[in-house]
Amino acid sequence: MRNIILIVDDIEMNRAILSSVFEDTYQILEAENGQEALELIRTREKEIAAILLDVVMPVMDGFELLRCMKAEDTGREIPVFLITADASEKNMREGFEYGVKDIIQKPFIPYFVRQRINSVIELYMTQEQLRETVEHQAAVIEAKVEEVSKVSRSVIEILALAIEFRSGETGLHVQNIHDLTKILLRRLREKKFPDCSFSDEQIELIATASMLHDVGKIAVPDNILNKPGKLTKDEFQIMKQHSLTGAEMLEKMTDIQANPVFSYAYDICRHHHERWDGTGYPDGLKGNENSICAQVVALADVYDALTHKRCYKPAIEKAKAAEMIVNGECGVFNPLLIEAFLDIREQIIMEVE
Amino acid sequence: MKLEELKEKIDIDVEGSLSRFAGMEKMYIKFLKKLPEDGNYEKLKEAVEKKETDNIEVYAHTLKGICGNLGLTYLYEKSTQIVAAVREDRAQEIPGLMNELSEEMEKAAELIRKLD
Repeated sequence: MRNIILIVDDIEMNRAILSSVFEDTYQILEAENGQEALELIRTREKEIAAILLDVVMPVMDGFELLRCMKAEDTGREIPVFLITADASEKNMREGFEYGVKDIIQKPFIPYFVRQRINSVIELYMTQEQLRETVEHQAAVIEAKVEEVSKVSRSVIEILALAIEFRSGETGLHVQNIHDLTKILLRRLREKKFPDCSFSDEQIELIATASMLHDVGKIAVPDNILNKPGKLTKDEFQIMKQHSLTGAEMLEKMTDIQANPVFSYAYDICRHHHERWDGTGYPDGLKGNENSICAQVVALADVYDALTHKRCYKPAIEKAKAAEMIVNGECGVFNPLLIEAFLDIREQIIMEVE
Repeated sequence: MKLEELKEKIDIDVEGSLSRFAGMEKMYIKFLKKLPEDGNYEKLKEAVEKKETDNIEVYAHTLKGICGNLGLTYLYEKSTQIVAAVREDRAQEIPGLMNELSEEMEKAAELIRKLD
């Protein structure tokens, strides 16, 4: 709470007069020149409600004090009033240019001075309270947003895990897709890859969205999903539906526009089986018709599927899997994406289980 | 003694001073009473006797400010003239001005001490 009025005047009599006007409502601090005042302002900035400032003083005059305060950026939230016998146009202009709130000419009538100064102090205090309230509320909102985003990430993870458990897997795949997507996108950003200038936050959102890539598998019957060995042509057609189904689910369940994670997830669900040469599904997108996010998840999905055992295939050694991807044995990928993958192959082999 | 009576005995602008004191009569009297006690006048007198020009200027200037604030018109004028005499190299005028100032000052001091 600000309850001090700082009176700066070299003449004791003037300080005494101003002091008597305010001493019943405020604590009074006195300074004989700008230098003394500056030291008080530095140490008690948060307690001072107003500064009543004389212009002509020895050691440091009023305008010099205002210059110092500006230079040090101190007392910015304290209203300053010039109290002067010389309210010439030049003085008044200079005062207002330094940001003083009002200029009070001596001799003055105490009642009016008190009213003028009090109303400015009240205004300042109200503004300060509002500012504090807004800051507090902003912090509360930020915490809530953080909480909601944690919850939504958990829900996404649970959903992704449920799908994976249904295929008799452990949940590692979902985590790995998340990590691989993140590492690859960061590398692409480093290489200044086109359309890849994502922020850390966006990369995290895309990686979270990538965990939902197979959410459409919920609609694939168990006998197909968990069939050991090769699928028949018809079974494969049903299996392929999962990318469209996932996209449809997201479209129906969520307001995609409202949360970027869902618009990324929609794109990733639908397009994580597209290939660079247009031979993928469901839309047969060619080259960069497919978004870079979906391209990255497609590669991550292939790598992780190769390196782990599935009901229809054994696990392949990591280095071998990387080689297969690079050689185009798992479909054609964006050559620049392959380049980025090669750059960080060792890191991927080391870090991703 | 009241301010009203003082007005009739020495050259003093009570109304103007009260407005400078924002109408606070008690405070005006409090500061008037400081005048005979603050020692500035004595220092000026000594400096004049010793012909210490620099000190004359300093103490006369201070006295000028104080008398101006307190509305002691005659004392204000005399101290102003002493400051001017120093600055304009008219030292020969100073003792005469100082005598005039002293006469009024001693009278004023005595009366001010009697103020309620």
